Amino acid sequence: MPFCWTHILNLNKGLNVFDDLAIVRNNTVFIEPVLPSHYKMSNIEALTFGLLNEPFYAQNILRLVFPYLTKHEKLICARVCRLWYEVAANNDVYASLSFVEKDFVYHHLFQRMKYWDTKHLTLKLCHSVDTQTSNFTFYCIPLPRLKSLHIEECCDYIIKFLISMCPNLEELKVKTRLFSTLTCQRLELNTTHRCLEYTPSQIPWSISIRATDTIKSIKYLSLTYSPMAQYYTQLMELCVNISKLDLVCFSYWNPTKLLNFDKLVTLNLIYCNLDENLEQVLSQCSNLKYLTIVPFYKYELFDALHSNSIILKCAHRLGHSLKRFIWGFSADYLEEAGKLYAGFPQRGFNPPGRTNIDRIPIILNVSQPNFQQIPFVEIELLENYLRQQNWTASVRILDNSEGSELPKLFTLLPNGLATNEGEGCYKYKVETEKIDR
Amino acid sequence: MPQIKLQSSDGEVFPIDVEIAKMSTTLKTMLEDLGMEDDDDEIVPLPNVNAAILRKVLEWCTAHRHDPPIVDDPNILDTRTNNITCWDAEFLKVDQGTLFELILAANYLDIRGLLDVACKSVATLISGKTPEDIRKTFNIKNDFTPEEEEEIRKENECCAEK
Repeated sequence: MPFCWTHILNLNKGLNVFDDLAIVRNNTVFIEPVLPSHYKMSNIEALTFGLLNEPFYAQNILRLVFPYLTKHEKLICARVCRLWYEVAANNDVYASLSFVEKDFVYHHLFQRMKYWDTKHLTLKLCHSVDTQTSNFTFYCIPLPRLKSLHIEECCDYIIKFLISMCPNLEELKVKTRLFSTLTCQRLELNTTHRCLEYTPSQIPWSISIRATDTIKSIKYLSLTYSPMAQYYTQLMELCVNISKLDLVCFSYWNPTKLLNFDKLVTLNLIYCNLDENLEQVLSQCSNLKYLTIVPFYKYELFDALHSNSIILKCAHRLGHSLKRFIWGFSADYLEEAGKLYAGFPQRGFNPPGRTNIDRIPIILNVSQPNFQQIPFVEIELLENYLRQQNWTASVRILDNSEGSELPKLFTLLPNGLATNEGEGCYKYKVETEKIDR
Repeated sequence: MPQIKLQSSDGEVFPIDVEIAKMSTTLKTMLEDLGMEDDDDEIVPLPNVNAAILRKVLEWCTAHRHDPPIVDDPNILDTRTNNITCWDAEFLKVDQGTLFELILAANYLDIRGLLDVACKSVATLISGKTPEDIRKTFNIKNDFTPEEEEEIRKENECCAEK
């Protein structure tokens, strides 16, 4: 909707002060404010004075023209003069900010951001030069307009303090490598070494996070490579309204913590630690509909088998509410998979009791690039397991690669693609489907 | 062909076809809401548009009266400036003042097609230029202090990065 000087007002609301300006008919008033006389400059005058120096006039023109410029062009315009800067700042130029490898002073940044209409903020490899200051909170300026925050490889202070400053945050993504990697990163960047002195236990996470209610509005939380899983657990604990959660390389499940996962609908566990505690945690997800587990098997065959049984138990526990369950395999894993799974069905896999899991399509999500290497033992594994359990499950092989080579995959399959209804109610089906990312 | 009369800010009256007037969403809404009769001798005053600009606007409307209506979807706003037709390019060969007045008039009358081409041609004046070039083009005074200028330049580097 373009901004417009013509407001259509209903007479019932009583605005007859405009009578002399308006055409009144059928209870509708058209108000047409007349421009002040000095806007009606002749063209020669306009050129002499530079029409766009006149604030009101320039704002109106620029606001209309800006949508036709690229972001880069708008940024150039912001440097023309104060007026243009203002218009640019109010014209979603700063709606989405991305800072990469900036050692900035918070104070400065947030003072600015107060005036910008920033909705998305991404910080990558940013480290505060203010860390020497003991009183961080001094710089905390609330950023109520910020809706989504992505933090990648930044020092812990950024995570800690930014979260507490964003009362209306809806999406939070935190990506941090293992602590040692981060340490190296800091050294490379030659920034302040102050952070190095802090070990996770010394960071007063619980205090700073609890101090704020802001986290409650977060709907989507994504945590990657957590070196301090227990702190992330605290974070999760506070996200009472979360509906989507991604965890990557999350290793610590605390069974004693009751997480507020009532409203959780989507859970993606990528390379997370799969143990009995996860089962406990998942049992709290009463409304979970979409579950993706990409296991990472790093140790022995036993470990892999154990993980698999955990996955299946989890799926069982959630059998009633689950709508989609993706059991994925990573490319890394596939390399070892053939060796690992040789002879699996004979290895006394302890199957969980029968539930109505048969409603759930189990999906083998084969990720690129090695997807044509999916070992048939994998299919066999599932096949055998399903047969043992008398399940009716539709096994679908999802292909998320462009220009896939599915035919090759088909030749790898031992039993072809035909539906096999030979034993019990077992049904085996392979479908292909593109995954929407 | 039914006609209505438009009166510019400086008092000149333009009798035009209702069909052409309806290219302006503002006028169209007004005509529909007010239920103006064909034989109505009402004069519609347009206090924001002077005769010279109104003449230009009507010229554009007359030339484009057979255009298909533009789908009003901000997401498909075409930011590229290369699809200005020859006729429009010729039509918009005017001084900046007239161009700005056309934009304001097109916005006020809500003539999407005209607003599009006029804004695009201003965008062409801006694109590919340095801030200093832009100041020269539009005769704008630089009211930043050198410090501020440097600060904003740094700031924008942050914004431009992906």
